[in-house]
Amino acid sequence: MPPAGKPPDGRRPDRGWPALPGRRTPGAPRSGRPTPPRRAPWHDDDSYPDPPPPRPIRRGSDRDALPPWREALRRKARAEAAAEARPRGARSGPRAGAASARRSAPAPRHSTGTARRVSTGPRRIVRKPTGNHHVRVLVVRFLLVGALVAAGLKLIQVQGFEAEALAAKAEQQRTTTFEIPAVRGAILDRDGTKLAFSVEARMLAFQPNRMREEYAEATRNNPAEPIDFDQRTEEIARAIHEVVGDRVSEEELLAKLRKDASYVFLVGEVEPAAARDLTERYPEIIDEYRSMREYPGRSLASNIVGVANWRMDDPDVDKHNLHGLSGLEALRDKVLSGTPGREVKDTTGGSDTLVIPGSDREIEPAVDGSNLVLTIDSDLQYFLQQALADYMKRAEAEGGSAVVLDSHTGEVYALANDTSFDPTGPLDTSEMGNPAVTTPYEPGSVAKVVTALCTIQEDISEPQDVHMVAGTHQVADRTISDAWPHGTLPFTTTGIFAKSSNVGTLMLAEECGKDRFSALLEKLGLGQRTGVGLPGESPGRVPPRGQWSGSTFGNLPIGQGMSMTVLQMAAMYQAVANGGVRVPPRIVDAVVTPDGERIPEPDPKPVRVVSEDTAKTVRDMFRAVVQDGDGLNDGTGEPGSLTGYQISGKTGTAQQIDPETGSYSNSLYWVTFAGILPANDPRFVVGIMIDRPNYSGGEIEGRSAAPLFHDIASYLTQRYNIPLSKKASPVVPLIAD
Amino acid sequence: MTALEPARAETQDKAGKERTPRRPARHGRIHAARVALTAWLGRPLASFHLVLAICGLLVVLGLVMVLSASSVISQQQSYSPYTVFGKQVVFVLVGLVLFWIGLRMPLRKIRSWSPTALWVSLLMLVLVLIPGIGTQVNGTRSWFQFGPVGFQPVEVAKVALALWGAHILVVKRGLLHQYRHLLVPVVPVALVMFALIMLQPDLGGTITLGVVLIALLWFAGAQMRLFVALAGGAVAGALILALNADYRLLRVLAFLNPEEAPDSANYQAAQALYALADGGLFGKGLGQGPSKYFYLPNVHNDFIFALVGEELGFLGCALVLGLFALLAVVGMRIATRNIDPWIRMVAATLTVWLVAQAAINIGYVVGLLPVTGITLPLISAGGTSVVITLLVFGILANCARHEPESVAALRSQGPGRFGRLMRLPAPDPYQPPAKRRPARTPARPRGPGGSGSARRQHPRRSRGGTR
Repeated sequence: MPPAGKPPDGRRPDRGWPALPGRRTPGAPRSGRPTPPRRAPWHDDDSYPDPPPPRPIRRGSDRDALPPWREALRRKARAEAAAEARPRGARSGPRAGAASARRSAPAPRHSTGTARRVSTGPRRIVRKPTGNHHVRVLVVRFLLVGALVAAGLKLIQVQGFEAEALAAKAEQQRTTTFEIPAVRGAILDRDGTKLAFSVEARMLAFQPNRMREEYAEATRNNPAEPIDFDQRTEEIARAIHEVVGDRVSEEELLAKLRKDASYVFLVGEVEPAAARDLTERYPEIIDEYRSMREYPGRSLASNIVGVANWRMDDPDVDKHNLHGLSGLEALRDKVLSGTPGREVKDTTGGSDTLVIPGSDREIEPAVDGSNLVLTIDSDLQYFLQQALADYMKRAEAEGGSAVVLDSHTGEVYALANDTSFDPTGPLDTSEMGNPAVTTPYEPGSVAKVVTALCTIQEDISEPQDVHMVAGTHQVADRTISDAWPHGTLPFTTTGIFAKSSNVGTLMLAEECGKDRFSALLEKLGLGQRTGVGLPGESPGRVPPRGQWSGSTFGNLPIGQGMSMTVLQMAAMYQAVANGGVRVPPRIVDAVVTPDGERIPEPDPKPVRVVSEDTAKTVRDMFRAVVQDGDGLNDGTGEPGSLTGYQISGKTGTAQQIDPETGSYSNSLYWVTFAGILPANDPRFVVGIMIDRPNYSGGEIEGRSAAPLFHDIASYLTQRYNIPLSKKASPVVPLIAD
Repeated sequence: MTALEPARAETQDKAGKERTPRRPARHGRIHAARVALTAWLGRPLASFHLVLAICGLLVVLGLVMVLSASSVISQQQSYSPYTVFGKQVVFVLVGLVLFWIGLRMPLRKIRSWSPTALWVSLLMLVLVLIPGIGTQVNGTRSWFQFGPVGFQPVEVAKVALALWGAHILVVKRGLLHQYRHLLVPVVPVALVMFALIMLQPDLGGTITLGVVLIALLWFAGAQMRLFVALAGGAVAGALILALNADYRLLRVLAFLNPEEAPDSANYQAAQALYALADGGLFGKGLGQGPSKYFYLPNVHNDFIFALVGEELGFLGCALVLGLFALLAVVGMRIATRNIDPWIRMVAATLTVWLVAQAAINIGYVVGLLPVTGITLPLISAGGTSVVITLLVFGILANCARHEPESVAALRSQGPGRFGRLMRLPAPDPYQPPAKRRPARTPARPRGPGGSGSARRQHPRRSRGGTR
């Protein structure tokens, strides 16, 4: 207790604070008997035979401190002690000796060594078993410190010498490599409208066998809340079904959940938020990252864009990713998918997914896929798809394709087939192709433009020159006749093409010559792939010049005996529209990297086919195809005309080979049309092919594609605000008077 | 606190004498430091201050490491990273109160209460075995559960055995050359405790209690052959225990032959080594150790030393080792400097207990010993352990204040700042027991004279040492 009035430091307190030993204090012995005589404590402490060294405190403190009034008491006590000691003799020998050695006169026999030796009693023998306390303390201190030092040495070994190897093992057991998914690039149309893009989704999975065990164990550990596997899986199936809807039925889910397997996939594309909600309610559901491909336009341009889906066929789970299945998704898969990155993290014990905070160390960042910008105009594409499909229905046709090209750049503005598919629904491979580029056909009269180009280019005949055209024409062993029977008529050159006279065309072609004709076919890109940038493109077929038989030259000028795709057909007319320079069509405009850099696709190499004048003359000449000449001077494609615009085009009807007879059929046709809009200042080239329409007996749509061209041209002029032609096409005589 | 001037003067004189003959001048600074250290250690209350410092450092380090080690498991169990740490803080606060009580209570009172403490602890050891009163955790019925806090009676039993055993042995010190006095009643009582603890079962507690018993017998001065016999018995007992339980056998086999042991048996030891090695020399930094993320089981109690090694590196480990080594030295110093035989024995025994417990814990963490569930005093999370350890530190500090020099200094110079703040009473000087009488009257008839006041005393009054 601190005294109330504390004396300054260094001064002995004289009140309140207990004084030095020996003085009677409140804490000192309470008994009324006198304090025992002061002796050095170790004299009493026989069991600890090593006397501590004399302490300063002990020295002389007794006598200095003892007040005079206590001196008498002390003397008395000592005398008593001495008196008591003497009769007992041997037992208290050493003590009495020690005491008396200091103060009273010693009795000689007690002070001798012999007396100690003879004396018997417990105190003598005590020394023997107790050993040396000081040594024992030293030994213990040595042992304890030694043990700690040994631990320290082992630590030096573990944390110093072996640290690297052990730490490597430690790192190995907690390191997990995570794949950083690369976001697959989007596919955009020429205006940036997204045709396809990726979103993050979750895939739900389950571990049936492991859960069986864990439920059983949880039930064992906590019998109060048993978990029944069947009941639990039923709950889970119900919950998942509520979230994903009718994509998967509850029974299907339940069958998967209760399967005897270590791992089952439950549902594929689940919204992340819904998946999170599910896994919060049922932590045993595994949700894994997966990317989902969205096609907002559904069937819009689906034959061009194709479809990508999540592939899990690779045994390495990290390689699972979106990959293209058809169309540009498949062809440009590498550009679109990018490079997944890798990230190394430390995960907690017993888990590959719980990451220790702050342990991320990215090794390779993911490079997202690039975007693909197409030349397609999605509005036009939509219209073309709709119009074509509608027309096919009216024509009762088996199939058909159409393409719209920019007349100067060769860019594909739209490319449609009669069938398209919905990439978000179930996939039917028969609908997923793109016949417009993969399936060639015999073009028929549309190909007469080659003869026309040759005629004008080689100055064989002027448009208004008159030719006497008979009803039939003999080429080698074949007799070629016109589509309608007639005697010899005075066709103008324009009339030959506008009336689509086979005989007249062959007459002009023969003047042109096989070699020049063949060279022109090659310049027009027939028999070669256009390189448009779509998968599975067909080159079509043109018989090589060396293999021509006698009748070959009777077929080729009228568009039989060779084949081309609708794209090649349109490209052919693009040369006419573009002043004689053919620019091979293309559909991919540019690749835009994830950091925004636009890398244009390599420009196609233009090919000069005919002179600009020839192209213009032919273009003007072909305006007559759609002219309304009051019966006799009607062109074959009059329904293709568009009020206010000069249209240049060519109809075609090609016989198909009847698979039953193996010869040209009289009921199966390809009906084609190629047109240039507007003819005076071309903006677009349209190619149309209709496969096996109801040719005889049906509507006009079954016999001609010109009405469809009219619709497309009409839409194009409005959509692109194409200025009206200053003058209507002049009506020219087709059959001279 | 002020040192005793004579003592200081003496050391300085000594140092001065040593220096003059051979030390060149350039060693002056080192020499001066040595002199200063010697002088500081020569101060009367040096032991007391060292005990306080060791205790404070260990408590702080322990709290920091418990926070770091338990945050993950707390987060997992209760969505707050501070649950275990919060409990530990509460226990440390309770322990500090007990520390203060142990420091403040007169030692003779502690001694006089030691038999009661022993009986209470025995009673608790019995009660804890009764289902409904004791709670079973991880297959061990060793807890009294009061709501969120648990209490392990085995810790109390250790202190009680140390205090009471020292008391009995000091009372009997004149008769210790006879085995029946040396061994009875201390050894039977200890054996009863062992049996009760093994019924829980708690091997770690038994081992620690065994250390306490051996320390008592050692400092009581039992013959060497007794320890040889005890060592034999311990080996035999360990063998029986190991063969009794499969998991113990696996642990021992794994320890003896870590390469061939199955992963599961060796898992903890291997993980501890990984954690230590991961720390290297300087450690990964506080809170950065990955092994607490469910790699190292019991990382916040049994294996916290591995986390110290991982986060603070070899330096942190060396600090802990150094503190316990210093505790060993200081505890032994207290034991030698005191003159009261009970204090000597208690100080030595308690020190041995704490340091041996630390050494065993560290030993199995670093792979020198097979794994046993013994905690690292003051650093491991564990309520009762930290409370009782702080009480023991308090008693040890109290013992340090009873060194004769400290008594003199405290009585002459006043309690000093710390003492005043803690309202510590002045220590009583050692009062050697009054006249002793033998336990039995000597057979030889005595003469008629003598025997004044001493004979009138009841023999039981003389207990030797502190009263």
